[in-house]
Amino acid sequence: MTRTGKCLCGAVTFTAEPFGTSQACHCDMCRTWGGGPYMAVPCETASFEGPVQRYRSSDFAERGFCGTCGTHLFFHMLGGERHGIPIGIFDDQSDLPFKGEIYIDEKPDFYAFEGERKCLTGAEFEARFR
Amino acid sequence: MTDAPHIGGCLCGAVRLVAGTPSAHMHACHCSICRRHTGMSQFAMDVSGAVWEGEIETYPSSDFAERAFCPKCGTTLYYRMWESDVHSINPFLLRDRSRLNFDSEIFIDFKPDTYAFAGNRPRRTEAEVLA
Repeated sequence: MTRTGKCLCGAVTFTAEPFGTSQACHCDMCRTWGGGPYMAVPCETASFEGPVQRYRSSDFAERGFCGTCGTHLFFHMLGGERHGIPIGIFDDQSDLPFKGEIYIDEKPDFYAFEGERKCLTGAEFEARFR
Repeated sequence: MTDAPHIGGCLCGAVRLVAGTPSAHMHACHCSICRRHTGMSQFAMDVSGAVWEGEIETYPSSDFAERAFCPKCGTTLYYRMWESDVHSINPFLLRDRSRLNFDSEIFIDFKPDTYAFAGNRPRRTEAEVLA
């Protein structure tokens, strides 16, 4: 079902089609980018309006943020429509259960999430989704 | 950009933290502004005497504080109250991450029920933080 959201300052708005769950990425780049694991909602499609800045963070993906307030907007694998959108910018954050953790091999030891869920290493994730 | 020694920096390398004294403590903040800014609770560490190099963009996220980010790659850099010279930085900017001591959580009453950090440490509510 289509959901909407916006950045902190409201300059960027979006509509997206979530698959229905959320997941955390522990990779070094995500943590350096935002100061914590990247808690994202995988979306089949997404459309953003406003001052979106894009940064090509690797040879296969880009990251988007609001040029005005710096809010993180998406992780996007190039060549496809799918976007990983931070759960915190959705207007309605309900019914997006936390079902997976990826790049678990890059997670520092000093934190961990409570509870059990499916975890993939970086190699397992890339073999499946790249 | 120079090759001068630095203690940390953003994802693309355009912004560098070249001086500063990090605190021995690191916390996670669950407030609604932190969670909207980067998607979930943010780790942060206070640094006094922070000196940055490179272009930095700031956004006034309230009437008493600002949030800074790299305009090229969007890396979250720090949160700062205007009346203070302490920069509460993204600890993953640091090159040396061997002394990250996650010993408190704040605005715990804003944390969604969907996730929680394992382990025992002081967890303070908004009222306790602002008291």
